[in-house]
Amino acid sequence: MFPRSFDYFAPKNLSEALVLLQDANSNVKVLAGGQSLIPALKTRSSPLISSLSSVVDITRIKDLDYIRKENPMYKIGALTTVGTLENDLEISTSLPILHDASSEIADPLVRNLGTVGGNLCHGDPVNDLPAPMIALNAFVVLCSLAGERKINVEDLYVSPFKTTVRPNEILTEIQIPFQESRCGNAYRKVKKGSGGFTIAGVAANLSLEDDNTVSACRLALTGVGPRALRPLKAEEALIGKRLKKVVLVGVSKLAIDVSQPPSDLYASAEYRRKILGILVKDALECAHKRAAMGNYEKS
Amino acid sequence: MKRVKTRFKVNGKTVELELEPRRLLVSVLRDDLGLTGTHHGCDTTNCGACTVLMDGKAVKSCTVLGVQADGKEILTIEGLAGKDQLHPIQQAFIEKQGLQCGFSTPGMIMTSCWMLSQNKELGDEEIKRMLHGNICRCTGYHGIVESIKYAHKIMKKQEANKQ
Repeated sequence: MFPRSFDYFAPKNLSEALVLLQDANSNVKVLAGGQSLIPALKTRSSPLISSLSSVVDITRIKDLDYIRKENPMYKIGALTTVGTLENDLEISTSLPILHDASSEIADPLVRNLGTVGGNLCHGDPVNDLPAPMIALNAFVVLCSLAGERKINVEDLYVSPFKTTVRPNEILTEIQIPFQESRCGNAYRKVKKGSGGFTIAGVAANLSLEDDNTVSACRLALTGVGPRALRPLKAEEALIGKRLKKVVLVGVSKLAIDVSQPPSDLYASAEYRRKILGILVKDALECAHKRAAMGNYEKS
Repeated sequence: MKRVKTRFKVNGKTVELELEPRRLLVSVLRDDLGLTGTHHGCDTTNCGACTVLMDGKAVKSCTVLGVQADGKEILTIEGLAGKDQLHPIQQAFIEKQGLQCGFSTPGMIMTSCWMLSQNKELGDEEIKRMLHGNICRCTGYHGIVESIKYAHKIMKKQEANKQ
Protein backbone atom coordinates (compact mmCIF):
# COMPACT_ATOMS: atom_id res chain seq x y z
CA MET A 1 0.00 0.00 0.00
CA PHE A 2 1.31 3.41 -0.92
CA PRO A 3 0.09 6.68 0.49
CA ARG A 4 -1.04 9.43 -1.86
CA SER A 5 1.69 11.93 -2.72
CA PHE A 6 2.51 14.63 -0.21
CA ASP A 7 5.27 17.12 0.51
CA TYR A 8 7.66 16.30 3.33
CA PHE A 9 9.44 18.63 5.72
CA ALA A 10 11.83 17.60 8.49
CA PRO A 11 12.59 20.64 10.66
CA LYS A 12 15.66 20.36 12.89
CA ASN A 13 14.29 22.37 15.79
CA LEU A 14 11.03 23.60 17.29
CA SER A 15 11.14 27.13 15.90
CA GLU A 16 11.69 25.84 12.36
CA ALA A 17 8.75 23.50 12.84
CA LEU A 18 6.49 26.27 14.14
CA VAL A 19 7.37 28.49 11.16
CA LEU A 20 6.44 25.64 8.81
CA LEU A 21 3.11 25.27 10.59
CA GLN A 22 2.25 28.94 10.94
CA ASP A 23 -0.26 29.07 8.08
CA ALA A 24 -1.19 25.41 8.35
CA ASN A 25 -4.71 24.10 8.00
CA SER A 26 -6.01 20.56 8.31
CA ASN A 27 -4.12 19.65 5.12
CA VAL A 28 -0.89 19.52 7.10
CA LYS A 29 -0.19 16.67 9.51
CA VAL A 30 2.55 16.45 12.11
CA LEU A 31 4.46 13.15 12.20
CA ALA A 32 5.70 12.46 15.72
CA GLY A 33 6.55 8.76 15.43
CA GLY A 34 4.24 7.82 12.61
CA GLN A 35 2.90 4.59 14.06
CA SER A 36 -0.69 5.78 13.70
CA LEU A 37 -0.26 8.36 10.96
CA ILE A 38 1.61 6.19 8.46
CA PRO A 39 -0.91 3.31 8.64
CA ALA A 40 -3.66 5.92 8.13
CA LEU A 41 -1.80 7.38 5.14
CA LYS A 42 -1.40 3.91 3.66
CA THR A 43 -5.06 2.94 3.83
CA ARG A 44 -6.00 6.30 2.23
CA SER A 45 -9.41 5.91 3.84
CA SER A 46 -9.11 7.76 7.13
CA PRO A 47 -11.01 11.07 7.23
CA LEU A 48 -7.90 12.35 9.01
CA ILE A 49 -5.87 12.47 5.84
CA SER A 50 -8.47 12.86 3.10
CA SER A 51 -7.11 16.24 2.07
CA LEU A 52 -3.53 15.88 3.23
CA SER A 53 -0.96 17.85 1.26
CA SER A 54 2.09 17.83 3.51
CA VAL A 55 3.69 16.08 6.45
CA VAL A 56 5.91 17.86 8.96
CA ASP A 57 8.18 15.26 10.54
CA ILE A 58 9.15 16.58 13.98
CA THR A 59 11.11 13.48 15.05
CA ARG A 60 14.40 15.25 14.36
CA ILE A 61 13.77 17.80 17.09
CA LYS A 62 16.14 16.34 19.64
CA ASP A 63 15.30 18.41 22.71
CA LEU A 64 11.70 17.18 23.04
CA ASP A 65 12.79 13.77 24.28
CA TYR A 66 13.11 13.78 28.08
CA ILE A 67 11.55 12.71 31.36
CA ARG A 68 12.30 15.18 34.17
CA LYS A 69 11.30 15.48 37.78
CA GLU A 70 10.89 19.16 38.59
CA ASN A 71 9.08 19.86 41.81
CA PRO A 72 6.03 19.80 41.92
CA MET A 73 5.63 17.88 38.67
CA TYR A 74 6.97 15.36 36.19
CA LYS A 75 7.69 16.78 32.77
CA ILE A 76 7.67 14.47 29.77
CA GLY A 77 8.88 15.70 26.39
CA ALA A 78 6.34 15.02 23.65
CA LEU A 79 8.83 13.07 21.55
CA THR A 80 9.68 10.63 24.31
CA THR A 81 8.92 7.23 22.81
CA VAL A 82 6.35 4.98 24.41
CA GLY A 83 9.16 2.43 24.84
CA THR A 84 11.26 4.94 26.80
CA LEU A 85 8.28 5.71 29.06
CA GLU A 86 7.66 2.00 29.56
CA ASN A 87 11.26 1.34 30.63
CA ASP A 88 11.76 4.41 32.83
CA LEU A 89 12.37 3.21 36.39
CA GLU A 90 11.26 6.41 38.10
CA ILE A 91 7.95 6.36 36.19
CA SER A 92 7.41 2.65 36.85
CA THR A 93 7.66 3.16 40.59
CA SER A 94 6.10 6.60 41.05
CA LEU A 95 3.44 6.55 38.31
CA PRO A 96 2.88 2.84 37.65
CA ILE A 97 -0.31 3.63 35.73
CA LEU A 98 1.88 4.97 32.91
CA HIS A 99 3.94 1.79 32.91
CA ASP A 100 0.72 -0.26 32.81
CA ALA A 101 -0.53 1.69 29.80
CA SER A 102 2.69 2.10 27.83
CA SER A 103 3.80 -1.51 28.15
CA GLU A 104 0.54 -2.69 26.57
CA ILE A 105 0.45 -0.38 23.55
CA ALA A 106 0.77 -2.35 20.31
CA ASP A 107 4.12 -4.20 20.41
CA PRO A 108 7.76 -3.39 21.33
CA LEU A 109 8.70 -2.46 17.75
CA VAL A 110 5.88 0.06 17.46
CA ARG A 111 6.78 1.42 20.91
CA ASN A 112 10.33 2.02 19.65
CA LEU A 113 8.97 4.72 17.34
CA GLY A 114 5.57 5.76 18.67
CA THR A 115 5.71 8.79 20.97
CA VAL A 116 3.80 9.94 24.03
CA GLY A 117 2.86 13.22 22.31
CA GLY A 118 1.73 11.40 19.20
CA ASN A 119 -0.47 9.03 21.16
CA LEU A 120 -2.09 11.98 22.96
CA CYS A 121 -2.64 14.05 19.79
CA HIS A 122 -3.99 11.33 17.52
CA GLY A 123 -7.45 11.47 19.07
CA ASP A 124 -8.42 7.86 18.42
CA PRO A 125 -10.80 6.89 21.27
CA VAL A 126 -8.84 3.63 21.67
CA ASN A 127 -5.47 5.34 22.21
CA ASP A 128 -4.25 4.22 25.62
CA LEU A 129 -2.45 7.23 27.08
CA PRO A 130 -5.27 9.82 27.29
CA ALA A 131 -7.21 8.01 30.06
CA PRO A 132 -4.22 7.55 32.41
CA MET A 133 -3.16 11.16 31.83
CA ILE A 134 -6.69 12.33 32.67
CA ALA A 135 -6.68 10.16 35.81
CA LEU A 136 -3.38 11.80 36.82
CA ASN A 137 -4.81 15.29 36.16
CA ALA A 138 -2.06 15.96 33.63
CA PHE A 139 -1.64 19.07 31.50
CA VAL A 140 -0.12 19.52 28.06
CA VAL A 141 1.83 22.46 26.69
CA LEU A 142 0.84 23.52 23.17
CA CYS A 143 3.24 25.77 21.27
CA SER A 144 2.70 27.96 18.25
CA LEU A 145 4.52 31.02 16.89
CA ALA A 146 2.00 33.14 18.82
CA GLY A 147 3.15 31.58 22.12
CA GLU A 148 2.33 28.79 24.52
CA ARG A 149 -0.84 27.61 26.17
CA LYS A 150 -1.33 24.97 28.79
CA ILE A 151 -4.48 22.88 28.88
CA ASN A 152 -5.75 19.94 30.88
CA VAL A 153 -5.62 16.64 28.97
CA GLU A 154 -9.35 16.35 29.64
CA ASP A 155 -9.92 19.38 27.42
CA LEU A 156 -7.88 17.95 24.55
CA TYR A 157 -10.56 15.76 23.03
CA VAL A 158 -13.73 16.59 21.14
CA SER A 159 -14.78 13.54 19.13
CA PRO A 160 -12.99 10.69 17.34
CA PHE A 161 -9.80 12.09 15.76
CA LYS A 162 -10.85 15.62 16.62
CA THR A 163 -8.76 17.42 19.24
CA THR A 164 -8.45 21.01 20.38
CA VAL A 165 -4.85 21.18 19.15
CA ARG A 166 -4.82 23.85 16.45
CA PRO A 167 -3.20 23.10 13.08
CA ASN A 168 -0.44 25.64 13.82
CA GLU A 169 0.37 24.15 17.21
CA ILE A 170 2.71 21.41 18.40
CA LEU A 171 2.25 19.58 21.69
CA THR A 172 5.67 19.91 23.30
CA GLU A 173 5.37 18.71 26.87
CA ILE A 174 3.18 16.75 29.25
CA GLN A 175 3.11 17.88 32.89
CA ILE A 176 1.98 15.53 35.63
CA PRO A 177 1.59 16.84 39.17
CA PHE A 178 3.27 14.85 41.96
CA GLN A 179 0.78 12.52 43.59
CA GLU A 180 -0.06 12.51 47.29
CA SER A 181 1.70 10.11 49.63
CA ARG A 182 -1.04 7.50 50.04
CA CYS A 183 -1.98 7.53 46.39
CA GLY A 184 -2.11 4.60 43.99
CA ASN A 185 -2.96 4.28 40.33
CA ALA A 186 -3.43 1.61 37.71
CA TYR A 187 -4.57 1.04 34.13
CA ARG A 188 -6.32 -2.12 33.04
CA LYS A 189 -7.48 -2.97 29.55
CA VAL A 190 -8.65 -5.70 27.20
CA LYS A 191 -7.30 -5.74 23.69
CA LYS A 192 -7.87 -7.68 20.51
CA GLY A 193 -4.95 -10.07 20.08
CA SER A 194 -1.47 -9.52 21.42
CA GLY A 195 -0.66 -6.30 19.60
CA GLY A 196 -4.15 -5.23 18.67
CA PHE A 197 -6.32 -2.25 19.43
CA THR A 198 -7.86 -1.71 22.83
CA ILE A 199 -11.46 -2.85 23.21
CA ALA A 200 -11.93 -1.10 26.54
CA GLY A 201 -9.65 0.30 29.23
CA VAL A 202 -9.95 1.88 32.67
CA ALA A 203 -7.54 4.27 34.40
CA ALA A 204 -7.92 4.68 38.16
CA ASN A 205 -6.06 7.01 40.50
CA LEU A 206 -7.03 7.24 44.15
CA SER A 207 -5.82 8.53 47.49
CA LEU A 208 -6.48 6.88 50.84
CA GLU A 209 -6.98 8.18 54.36
CA ASP A 210 -5.11 6.47 57.20
CA ASP A 211 -8.13 4.23 57.80
CA ASN A 212 -8.10 3.18 54.10
CA THR A 213 -11.22 5.07 53.11
CA VAL A 214 -10.95 6.80 49.73
CA SER A 215 -10.24 10.53 50.08
CA ALA A 216 -9.88 11.41 46.39
CA CYS A 217 -10.40 9.60 43.12
CA ARG A 218 -10.14 10.16 39.39
CA LEU A 219 -11.28 7.62 36.81
CA ALA A 220 -11.09 7.68 33.02
CA LEU A 221 -12.31 5.23 30.39
CA THR A 222 -10.77 4.22 27.04
CA GLY A 223 -12.63 2.95 24.00
CA VAL A 224 -16.18 3.22 25.29
CA GLY A 225 -17.15 6.59 23.89
CA PRO A 226 -16.21 9.18 21.28
CA ARG A 227 -13.32 10.24 23.51
CA ALA A 228 -11.75 9.26 26.84
CA LEU A 229 -14.57 9.70 29.38
CA ARG A 230 -14.55 10.63 33.05
CA PRO A 231 -17.35 8.95 35.04
CA LEU A 232 -17.82 11.71 37.62
CA LYS A 233 -20.66 10.03 39.50
CA ALA A 234 -18.60 6.87 39.89
CA GLU A 235 -15.75 8.94 41.32
CA GLU A 236 -18.07 10.67 43.80
CA ALA A 237 -19.54 7.37 44.90
CA LEU A 238 -16.11 6.25 46.10
CA ILE A 239 -15.32 9.19 48.35
CA GLY A 240 -15.34 8.32 52.03
CA LYS A 241 -15.84 4.62 51.29
CA ARG A 242 -13.71 1.55 51.73
CA LEU A 243 -13.19 -0.52 48.60
CA LYS A 244 -15.65 -3.28 49.44
CA LYS A 245 -17.33 -5.55 46.91
CA VAL A 246 -20.71 -3.84 47.18
CA VAL A 247 -19.10 -0.43 46.61
CA LEU A 248 -17.20 -1.73 43.57
CA VAL A 249 -20.37 -3.14 42.04
CA GLY A 250 -22.10 0.22 42.41
CA VAL A 251 -19.15 2.17 41.02
CA SER A 252 -18.84 -0.17 38.03
CA LYS A 253 -22.51 0.34 37.26
CA LEU A 254 -22.16 4.13 37.41
CA ALA A 255 -19.18 3.94 35.02
CA ILE A 256 -21.14 1.76 32.59
CA ASP A 257 -23.99 4.29 32.72
CA VAL A 258 -21.84 7.11 31.30
CA SER A 259 -20.22 4.92 28.63
CA GLN A 260 -21.38 5.11 25.03
CA PRO A 261 -19.50 2.15 23.59
CA PRO A 262 -19.51 1.58 19.84
CA SER A 263 -20.18 -1.73 18.12
CA ASP A 264 -17.51 -2.39 15.55
CA LEU A 265 -15.33 -5.00 13.92
CA TYR A 266 -13.60 -5.75 17.21
CA ALA A 267 -16.39 -5.98 19.75
CA SER A 268 -20.09 -5.31 20.27
CA ALA A 269 -21.27 -2.48 22.51
CA GLU A 270 -22.76 -5.03 24.88
CA TYR A 271 -19.44 -6.85 25.22
CA ARG A 272 -17.62 -3.58 25.81
CA ARG A 273 -20.05 -2.63 28.60
CA LYS A 274 -19.59 -6.00 30.25
CA ILE A 275 -15.80 -5.83 30.05
CA LEU A 276 -15.86 -2.24 31.30
CA GLY A 277 -17.53 -3.25 34.57
CA ILE A 278 -14.85 -5.84 35.24
CA LEU A 279 -12.02 -3.48 34.32
CA VAL A 280 -13.31 -0.76 36.66
CA LYS A 281 -13.15 -3.24 39.51
CA ASP A 282 -9.70 -4.55 38.51
CA ALA A 283 -8.18 -1.10 38.06
CA LEU A 284 -9.59 0.17 41.38
CA GLU A 285 -8.42 -2.87 43.30
CA CYS A 286 -4.92 -2.60 41.88
CA ALA A 287 -4.80 1.18 42.51
CA HIS A 288 -6.00 0.58 46.06
CA LYS A 289 -3.35 -2.07 46.68
CA ARG A 290 -0.66 0.26 45.37
CA ALA A 291 -1.94 3.15 47.48
CA ALA A 292 -1.89 1.00 50.59
CA MET A 293 1.60 -0.24 49.81
CA GLY A 294 2.99 3.03 48.51
CA ASN A 295 2.59 2.49 44.75
CA TYR A 296 5.56 0.17 44.42
CA GLU A 297 3.75 -3.09 43.87
CA LYS A 298 3.80 -3.71 40.13
CA SER A 299 1.13 -6.32 39.62
CA MET B 1 5.45 16.37 -5.33
CA LYS B 2 9.06 17.16 -4.66
CA ARG B 3 11.53 14.33 -4.25
CA VAL B 4 13.74 14.54 -1.21
CA LYS B 5 17.46 13.83 -1.14
CA THR B 6 17.99 11.10 1.44
CA ARG B 7 21.38 9.91 2.63
CA PHE B 8 21.79 7.05 5.04
CA LYS B 9 23.89 4.03 5.87
CA VAL B 10 22.68 0.53 5.08
CA ASN B 11 24.71 -2.33 6.50
CA GLY B 12 27.68 0.01 6.84
CA LYS B 13 27.52 1.40 3.29
CA THR B 14 26.42 4.98 2.66
CA VAL B 15 23.69 5.39 0.05
CA GLU B 16 22.15 8.52 -1.42
CA LEU B 17 18.74 8.48 -3.07
CA GLU B 18 16.16 10.96 -4.36
CA LEU B 19 12.97 9.68 -2.80
CA GLU B 20 9.31 10.44 -3.21
CA PRO B 21 8.20 11.14 0.39
CA ARG B 22 5.37 8.62 0.18
CA ARG B 23 7.73 5.70 -0.39
CA LEU B 24 8.06 3.32 2.56
CA LEU B 25 11.42 2.19 3.87
CA VAL B 26 10.64 -1.47 3.16
CA SER B 27 10.16 -0.79 -0.55
CA VAL B 28 13.21 1.48 -0.72
CA LEU B 29 15.32 -1.32 0.75
CA ARG B 30 13.86 -4.00 -1.49
CA ASP B 31 13.18 -2.22 -4.77
CA ASP B 32 15.83 0.49 -4.88
CA LEU B 33 18.65 -1.23 -3.03
CA GLY B 34 17.91 -4.87 -3.89
CA LEU B 35 17.94 -5.93 -0.24
CA THR B 36 15.10 -8.41 -0.55
CA GLY B 37 15.93 -10.19 2.69
CA THR B 38 13.64 -7.72 4.41
CA HIS B 39 10.19 -9.13 3.72
CA HIS B 40 7.02 -7.32 2.82
CA GLY B 41 4.44 -9.14 4.94
CA CYS B 42 1.10 -7.85 6.17
CA ASP B 43 1.82 -4.22 5.28
CA THR B 44 -0.35 -3.17 8.24
CA THR B 45 2.20 -2.88 11.10
CA ASN B 46 1.18 -6.24 12.52
CA CYS B 47 3.43 -9.07 11.37
CA GLY B 48 7.00 -7.78 11.75
CA ALA B 49 8.41 -9.56 8.66
CA CYS B 50 9.80 -6.16 7.58
CA THR B 51 11.71 -5.54 10.83
CA VAL B 52 15.08 -3.78 10.46
CA LEU B 53 17.27 -1.95 12.94
CA MET B 54 17.26 1.84 12.69
CA ASP B 55 20.00 3.39 14.81
CA GLY B 56 20.11 0.14 16.77
CA LYS B 57 16.39 -0.12 17.50
CA ALA B 58 14.09 -2.67 15.88
CA VAL B 59 11.38 -0.97 13.81
CA LYS B 60 8.81 -2.07 11.25
CA SER B 61 10.06 -0.75 7.92
CA CYS B 62 6.55 -0.82 6.40
CA THR B 63 5.65 1.90 8.91
CA VAL B 64 8.63 4.18 8.34
CA LEU B 65 8.90 6.55 5.39
CA GLY B 66 12.05 6.09 3.31
CA VAL B 67 12.86 9.78 3.81
CA GLN B 68 12.84 9.28 7.58
CA ALA B 69 15.98 7.17 7.22
CA ASP B 70 17.97 10.30 6.32
CA GLY B 71 21.08 10.48 8.52
CA LYS B 72 20.33 7.14 10.17
CA GLU B 73 22.03 3.77 10.19
CA ILE B 74 19.94 0.87 8.95
CA LEU B 75 20.85 -2.75 9.55
CA THR B 76 19.03 -5.43 7.55
CA ILE B 77 19.33 -9.22 7.64
CA GLU B 78 21.93 -9.00 4.86
CA GLY B 79 24.26 -7.00 7.09
CA LEU B 80 24.29 -9.44 9.96
CA ALA B 81 26.68 -12.21 8.92
CA GLY B 82 30.44 -11.78 8.90
CA LYS B 83 32.50 -12.36 5.75
CA ASP B 84 32.49 -16.12 5.95
CA GLN B 85 30.67 -16.75 9.18
CA LEU B 86 27.02 -16.57 10.14
CA HIS B 87 25.93 -14.32 13.00
CA PRO B 88 25.37 -16.34 16.22
CA ILE B 89 21.64 -15.64 15.98
CA GLN B 90 21.50 -17.06 12.45
CA GLN B 91 23.53 -20.06 13.57
CA ALA B 92 21.21 -20.59 16.53
CA PHE B 93 18.06 -20.42 14.34
CA ILE B 94 19.53 -23.18 12.16
CA GLU B 95 20.64 -25.40 15.02
CA LYS B 96 17.49 -25.04 17.12
CA GLN B 97 15.10 -25.08 14.17
CA GLY B 98 13.84 -21.55 14.71
CA LEU B 99 12.10 -21.59 11.34
CA GLN B 100 9.74 -23.59 9.22
CA CYS B 101 8.72 -21.74 6.05
CA GLY B 102 11.19 -18.94 6.80
CA PHE B 103 9.03 -15.99 5.75
CA SER B 104 8.99 -14.31 9.16
CA THR B 105 12.60 -15.27 9.89
CA PRO B 106 14.44 -12.09 8.79
CA GLY B 107 12.14 -10.06 11.05
CA MET B 108 12.42 -12.54 13.90
CA ILE B 109 16.20 -12.42 13.68
CA MET B 110 16.38 -8.61 13.54
CA THR B 111 14.11 -8.32 16.59
CA SER B 112 16.28 -10.92 18.35
CA CYS B 113 19.34 -8.88 17.44
CA TRP B 114 17.82 -5.79 19.10
CA MET B 115 16.66 -7.82 22.08
CA LEU B 116 20.12 -9.33 22.62
CA SER B 117 21.85 -5.97 22.26
CA GLN B 118 20.18 -4.69 25.42
CA ASN B 119 22.23 -6.76 27.86
CA LYS B 120 19.37 -7.88 29.99
CA GLU B 121 18.40 -11.20 31.43
CA LEU B 122 16.13 -13.01 29.02
CA GLY B 123 13.77 -15.64 30.40
CA ASP B 124 11.13 -17.32 28.25
CA GLU B 125 8.46 -14.84 29.28
CA GLU B 126 10.57 -11.78 28.47
CA ILE B 127 11.57 -13.21 25.08
CA LYS B 128 7.92 -13.87 24.27
CA ARG B 129 6.96 -10.37 25.36
CA MET B 130 9.64 -8.84 23.15
CA LEU B 131 8.42 -10.95 20.21
CA HIS B 132 4.85 -9.60 20.39
CA GLY B 133 5.41 -7.65 17.21
CA ASN B 134 6.62 -10.60 15.12
CA ILE B 135 4.11 -13.14 13.91
CA CYS B 136 4.94 -16.65 12.67
CA ARG B 137 2.01 -18.35 10.97
CA CYS B 138 3.73 -21.75 11.04
CA THR B 139 3.34 -21.17 14.80
CA GLY B 140 6.91 -22.27 15.39
CA TYR B 141 7.36 -19.99 18.37
CA HIS B 142 8.79 -22.72 20.57
CA GLY B 143 11.78 -23.20 18.25
CA ILE B 144 12.19 -19.43 17.93
CA VAL B 145 12.34 -18.90 21.70
CA GLU B 146 14.82 -21.78 22.02
CA SER B 147 16.95 -20.29 19.24
CA ILE B 148 17.09 -16.90 20.93
CA LYS B 149 18.06 -18.45 24.25
CA TYR B 150 20.77 -20.46 22.50
CA ALA B 151 22.05 -17.40 20.62
CA HIS B 152 22.19 -15.53 23.91
CA LYS B 153 24.35 -18.31 25.31
CA ILE B 154 26.72 -18.32 22.32
CA MET B 155 27.05 -14.53 22.39
CA LYS B 156 27.76 -14.47 26.12
CA LYS B 157 30.43 -17.11 25.60
CA GLN B 158 32.00 -15.15 22.74
CA GLU B 159 31.98 -12.04 24.88
CA ALA B 160 33.69 -13.89 27.73
CA ASN B 161 36.31 -15.32 25.36
CA LYS B 162 37.12 -11.84 24.13
CA GLN B 163 37.94 -10.59 27.60
